[in-house]
Amino acid sequence: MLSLKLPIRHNTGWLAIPASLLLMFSGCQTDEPAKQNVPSVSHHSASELYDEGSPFHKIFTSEADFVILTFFDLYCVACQQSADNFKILGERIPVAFPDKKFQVTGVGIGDTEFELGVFLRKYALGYDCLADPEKEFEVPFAIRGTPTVLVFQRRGPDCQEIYRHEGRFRLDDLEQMVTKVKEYL
Amino acid sequence: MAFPTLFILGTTIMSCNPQVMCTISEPVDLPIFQPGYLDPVDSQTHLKVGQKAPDFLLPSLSGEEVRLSELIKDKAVVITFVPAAWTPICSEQWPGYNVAEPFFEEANAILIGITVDNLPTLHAWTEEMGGVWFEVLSDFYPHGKVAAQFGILRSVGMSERALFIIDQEGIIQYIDVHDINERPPLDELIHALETLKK
Repeated sequence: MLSLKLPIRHNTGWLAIPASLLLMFSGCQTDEPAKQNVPSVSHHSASELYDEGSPFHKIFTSEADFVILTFFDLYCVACQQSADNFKILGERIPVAFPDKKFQVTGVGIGDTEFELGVFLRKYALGYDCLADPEKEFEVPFAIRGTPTVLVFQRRGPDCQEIYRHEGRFRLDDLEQMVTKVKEYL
Repeated sequence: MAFPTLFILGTTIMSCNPQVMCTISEPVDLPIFQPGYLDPVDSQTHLKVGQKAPDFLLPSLSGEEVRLSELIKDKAVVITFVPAAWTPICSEQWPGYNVAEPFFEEANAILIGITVDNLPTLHAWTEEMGGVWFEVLSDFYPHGKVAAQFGILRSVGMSERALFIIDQEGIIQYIDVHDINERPPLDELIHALETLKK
């Protein structure tokens, strides 16, 4: 985590110039971005998706055109604050794309089945969710924190990540996600 | 020249909301102090299940002074002692209890949180976490007096990470003096609450 402590005195204000430039170009933190849409970088082949030993096998369970994944954690405040919008996501997608097949799946990353149940009791998301107590999906899906939303598009037998959102998920983020998906129709 | 550059610096910092993402290792993205690995337990409580809980009076964030013997007139009381504000595990544990609130209601129990931090610190910390539904009490002065009454004051002046369930007779029904480095499993606490209902 980047941490800057700048001396601010009357005769040293000029130090703020390089510091502010550094902050502007580095974002909030170097390894824990507050909010970021990362370019599509993830591609998963058919062998990964359908290999029963692969964690993807547990996620890509349908032949849907698009697979949307919401990653959250019971103990994460930003996830609690995003939960209502995760529910709206599940409701909005079939309306926005009535002629496409979507799979929406939630993952309680680091949560036991019990903890996932506690989360869903308070925030009924309305779609299937998996508990991932051992954080099995963290590395394969490059999850750096929660909440995270990923959208994959099926391309033949393979899957391509087309959208990634990290950080609190607001309604305008949902609209951005819908816009992004439309670009791939 | 200093003013405009400082303005740019200030607005740049302010544009970064520190609470929008929880990292995998630290589920609340707060300005967290990392205490490192600590001795799992550094005290030996003299209290046992079946004994009367020590009564206490502590100031709370709501501005009221809270007395245990008054609280148990209405409901069973779950006390969550956590070692310190602005530390990783504590900043996961209490937001988790926000989600579990219905389980406390069903067990006719209330939850109170206690740390040895002072009230301004507790105010800032809980606000940054988005608030908590339960009363938060400060055991700051005399420092750690209540933690000591419960036998869970560590040698460095903070409390253990401990849970006590006290029934409406004032009798301790559950004790978990937990490894300070780990979050107590929520299912064990809720199971204990369900036992209380029977």
